[in-house]
Amino acid sequence: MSGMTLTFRGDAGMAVDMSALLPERLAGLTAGEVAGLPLPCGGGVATVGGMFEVSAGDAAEGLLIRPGQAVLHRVGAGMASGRILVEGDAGNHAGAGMSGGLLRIAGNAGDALGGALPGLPLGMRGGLIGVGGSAGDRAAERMRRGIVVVDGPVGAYAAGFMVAGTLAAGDGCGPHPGFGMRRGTLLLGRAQDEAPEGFADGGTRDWLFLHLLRRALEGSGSWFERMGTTRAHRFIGDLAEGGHGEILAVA
Amino acid sequence: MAEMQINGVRIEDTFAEAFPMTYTRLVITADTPAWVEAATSSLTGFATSVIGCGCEAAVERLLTPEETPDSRPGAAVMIFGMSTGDLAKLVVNRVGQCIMTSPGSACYAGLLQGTKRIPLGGGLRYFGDGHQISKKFGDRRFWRLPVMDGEFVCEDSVAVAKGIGGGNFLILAASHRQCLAAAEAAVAAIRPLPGVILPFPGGVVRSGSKVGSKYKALIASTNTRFCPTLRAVEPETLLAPNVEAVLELVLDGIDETAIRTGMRAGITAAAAGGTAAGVLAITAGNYGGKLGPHHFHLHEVMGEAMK
Repeated sequence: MSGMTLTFRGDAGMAVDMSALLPERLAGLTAGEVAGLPLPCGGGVATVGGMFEVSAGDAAEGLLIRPGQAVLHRVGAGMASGRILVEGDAGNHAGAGMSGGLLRIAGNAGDALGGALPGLPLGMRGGLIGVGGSAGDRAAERMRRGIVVVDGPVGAYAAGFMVAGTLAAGDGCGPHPGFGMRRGTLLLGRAQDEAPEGFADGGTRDWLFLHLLRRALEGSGSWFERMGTTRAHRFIGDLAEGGHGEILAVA
Repeated sequence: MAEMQINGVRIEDTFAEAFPMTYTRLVITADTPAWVEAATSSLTGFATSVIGCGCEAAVERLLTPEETPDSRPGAAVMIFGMSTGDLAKLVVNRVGQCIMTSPGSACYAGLLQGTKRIPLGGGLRYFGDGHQISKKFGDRRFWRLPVMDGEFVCEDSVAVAKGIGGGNFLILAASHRQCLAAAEAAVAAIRPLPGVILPFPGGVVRSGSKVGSKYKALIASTNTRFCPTLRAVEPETLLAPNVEAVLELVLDGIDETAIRTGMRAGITAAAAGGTAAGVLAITAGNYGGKLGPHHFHLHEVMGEAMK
């Protein structure tokens, strides 16, 4: 990635709110200007330069974050455009409320990936999130639009209260998937033996639109791009919310 | 301009007169090439001339699975109309009745940038009776409509752009059989070209028309000057005594280059066998240059090929 690089150099375990560091906000700023920006961390505020080594480059070309031993929350939260690559793990609320752009996390993501920020009614509403590892609970909660692809497993309440969009979890999910789901797709890379609570068994077949999803993910290297099949077991729900959402478990 | 001949076939010093049209392009896919053919032949049926059909349509080219959005066999279809409004009504009706009904089919936008957008799945989604599902991948929105063989996947909308309709040339031959053979050769040469279609049956027209009629209700009638059976009684006949049949190819294209390239390829193929194959002359249809702004002069078109 030819853009700006932020390499964490602070104390291990430091929690940092990264929501202010978005490509569209940093575009055109020099490394010195970015280093001087305030950033909430560990219950206080520090400058970016106090915690990160900031390389020369334009964030409009992409933002590479090396988290080291830090716990970086809200990475890419509210992002509307541009690219963020995290070379490691991300904390909670990564990509929350995101409306566009690309967020790629090479490691694991915490809770509420692509979900809603506290107090806000809707989660992610555009763009693409790719996670190379696992994700925590409530991934894609209240999601409205966009694609979240997690190569590993996701935690409990995946796609909870989802309004639309797609969450694809390569290694299955925790309990209560699709709780309160209104529309949208939760795609699981593992077979699902029983209909989840609140869902009806819709049978197994080939799904043409999954070809379109695969084309949309071309070049991402995600689990679904690598998987050849479009055959999946469909569960329709959450029936308590009208039953227009779906959980597709690859067969 | 000096007389032009190709293999002894006279190229008349005249021009084809063409008109601005609005077009769109759809990508149709299905499980097999045979079902692509079934869907597209239905979609492009009764679409030879805007005068009587409202639109002109044909398959532009077949697509390999690697070229289609859903990795299945497909075809690109171009549909030409007189306005965006006309096209909006015709396209959604045709897709609804001819593609959605065809087993295993799907319909995608083949034109993503243009002057405006017209609805596809966006107009058909209500057929899903509340069970339709929208999926947006990148900038493209698709609709999934539950149907009896699974789901009909259809892109939300497609762009329209300005094109040209009515490029043409006529083949004058010594016999009907030889005229048809030359026309078939011309069609085979034009069909692989991008950006141009031949909307008439088999790509060929046998009932060329002129503007007006002795009957007030008709805006067009048979082109008597090119009817061999009327040669003796038509004072303005354009046919020599040895011409037994005339066939016309009408081309619609995305721009002048596409039309010109198509005409050149078609005329070259039609005249390839020369007078020995019974082809006597190539001419073109026009209205004196007063109606259509696009003029394709045969000597110019073929002069580029002969340089």
